Amino acid sequence: MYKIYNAIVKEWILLKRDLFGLIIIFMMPIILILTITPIQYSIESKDDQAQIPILLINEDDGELSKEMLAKLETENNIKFIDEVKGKPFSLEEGKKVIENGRQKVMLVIPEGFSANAQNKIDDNIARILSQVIPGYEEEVSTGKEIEIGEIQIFFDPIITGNIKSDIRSSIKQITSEMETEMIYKSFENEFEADLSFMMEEELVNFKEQTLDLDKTNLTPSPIQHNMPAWALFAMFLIVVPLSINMVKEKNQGTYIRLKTLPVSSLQLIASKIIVYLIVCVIQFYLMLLVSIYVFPMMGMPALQVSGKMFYLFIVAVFSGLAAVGFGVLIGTVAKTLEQSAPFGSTAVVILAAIGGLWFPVYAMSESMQKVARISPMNWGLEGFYHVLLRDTSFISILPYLSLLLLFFILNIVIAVIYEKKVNTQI
Amino acid sequence: MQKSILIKNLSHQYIGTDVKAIDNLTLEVETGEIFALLGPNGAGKTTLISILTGLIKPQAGEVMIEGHDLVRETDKIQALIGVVPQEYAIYPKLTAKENLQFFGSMYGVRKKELDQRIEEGLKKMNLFEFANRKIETFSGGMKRRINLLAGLLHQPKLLFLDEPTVGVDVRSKRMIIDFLTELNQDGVTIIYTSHLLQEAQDFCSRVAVMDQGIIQVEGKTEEVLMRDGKMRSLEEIFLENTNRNV
Repeated sequence: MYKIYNAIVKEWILLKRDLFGLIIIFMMPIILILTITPIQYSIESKDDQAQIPILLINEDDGELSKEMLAKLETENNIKFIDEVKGKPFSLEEGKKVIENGRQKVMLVIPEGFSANAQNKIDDNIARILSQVIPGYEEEVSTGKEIEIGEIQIFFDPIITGNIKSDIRSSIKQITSEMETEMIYKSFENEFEADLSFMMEEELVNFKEQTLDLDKTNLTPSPIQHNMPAWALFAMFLIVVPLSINMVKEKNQGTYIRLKTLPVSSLQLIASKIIVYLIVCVIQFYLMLLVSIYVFPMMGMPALQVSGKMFYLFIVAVFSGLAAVGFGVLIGTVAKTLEQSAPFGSTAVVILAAIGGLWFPVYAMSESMQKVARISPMNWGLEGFYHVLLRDTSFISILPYLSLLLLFFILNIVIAVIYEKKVNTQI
Repeated sequence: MQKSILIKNLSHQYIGTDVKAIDNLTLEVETGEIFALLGPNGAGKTTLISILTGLIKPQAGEVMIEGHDLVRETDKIQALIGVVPQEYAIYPKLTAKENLQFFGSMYGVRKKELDQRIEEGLKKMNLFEFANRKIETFSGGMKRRINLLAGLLHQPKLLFLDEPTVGVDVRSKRMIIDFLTELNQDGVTIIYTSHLLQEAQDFCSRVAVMDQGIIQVEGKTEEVLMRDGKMRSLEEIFLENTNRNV
């Protein structure tokens, strides 16, 4: 223990004196979490929902189109623009604006849309009634089809399928609601009856619930994702300074002396593991503090960690072990800084991407979801999710802790064997 | 006389090469000697020292150091030997004292004793006032002296020195040689490799000239110099037995 203690002291002093390394280790993840979380939060937050303005040509002067547009504005947060450069515009001018990419979407409501829609509904109802009420035939207005005219939507080609589909379904939903309302109103007029109860009640109701085992009403949010995600990214980024530290030592004379000391490779590695694990835990707590105290100052909710601190610490320690183990392996195998630094950082970025740190795993394809399960960062993330969102118990996080520990042990065993077999046989 | 090092039929060939770096080498070094291992680049000196210090595992042969088998008792041997590599085997970002505290503690020297030895060593090397300065601010000669001290804090019985005076000024060189002579008088066996043949001739009690993994000439310094009945310089002996330029 005396030797390990002194090796830890040495590692700690070396780390403290590497100012640039410390900035990378501690400041970079904080900058990342403070930049990315507000962006994600603003996208996901209803109040600040991003709007794509829609160019509008409304050739109809009826109430139906006015009502439809008002609903789209209030209920779907859509913003309509009916002037270009301060002037009303024609269909052709509108198309050019879309083609140039200055606006992304244009909605065109045809002339007589409201009146035609109302006439069509009245006509349909009259036809229905003529089937069931004898002598109603004379009330059927024209006997020929009424054309309402199409609502046209023009999209800039860069608009993605998801956004197109969102806009289409918003408009469809509002129009079909209004259509139903008009049908009921027509029946009311025909029968001189009050059918408002049918308009107020929906036949099928939805109740949305996010299952939460500990009943604390937590739902996944950008804050609950970003804190563990960026904490894990920061922890695994320790691979870079740790492997650089090891390769530098190897390329200096100190390695020769270290190899001739009556100290085992494992003892020397243990000192690095302990120091860099402490760094990982500090990184985690820094991210936690940012999520609890800084986010509210930026107008976002604080991360709720009440009663979860112990388990968060446990997951952080095991994730840190996995990260440090990976760094030790790279540092042992790499012979030059040119090998360790790019490989380490690239590997971390890949593991983060496939592990669901930047894009949720559930939204990935089935094959990519399987790939995600091989990333230690995914194991860490799932462990944190379990603590933050689901069941806070040791049993529930045990599978993830076991995987992280196994990954750590595997890396260290390979590193020690490599050190003994390869680096001493030269 | 007790043997500090006993080597029998030692061979080593690096992976991917077809030439043996050490070829069936047999050698004995007696306790208390200052033994110079000389040879041109690629002669096998570094490989031999690397094997003797436990850096490389020997492929064939037998090596006993201070009565311990090198393969089976590497840890015991490493606790008895001191190694001073040619490169500065110290951390530039640590102070002189921090470096010495780290390396001394790795040999298991307890703190109180270690602090005392560090103080004595730094005073002997005229570096006491620089104890708390980072190595990166030191001159080449100062680094060499710290490099030497780092291998001596556990008071080894056997000391391996690889070019201990290379690139240092005359004053530092004198200080290092005097210090080593004093150590040898206290009973420390010294194995020394160098390209400075005059220094080896003046400093060492025995010399061996090595080439192509084989000891070409070996014996007490004065016997080697008088080998053919007439006094010659070590440089002449070296050139004759290595057939290369220094």
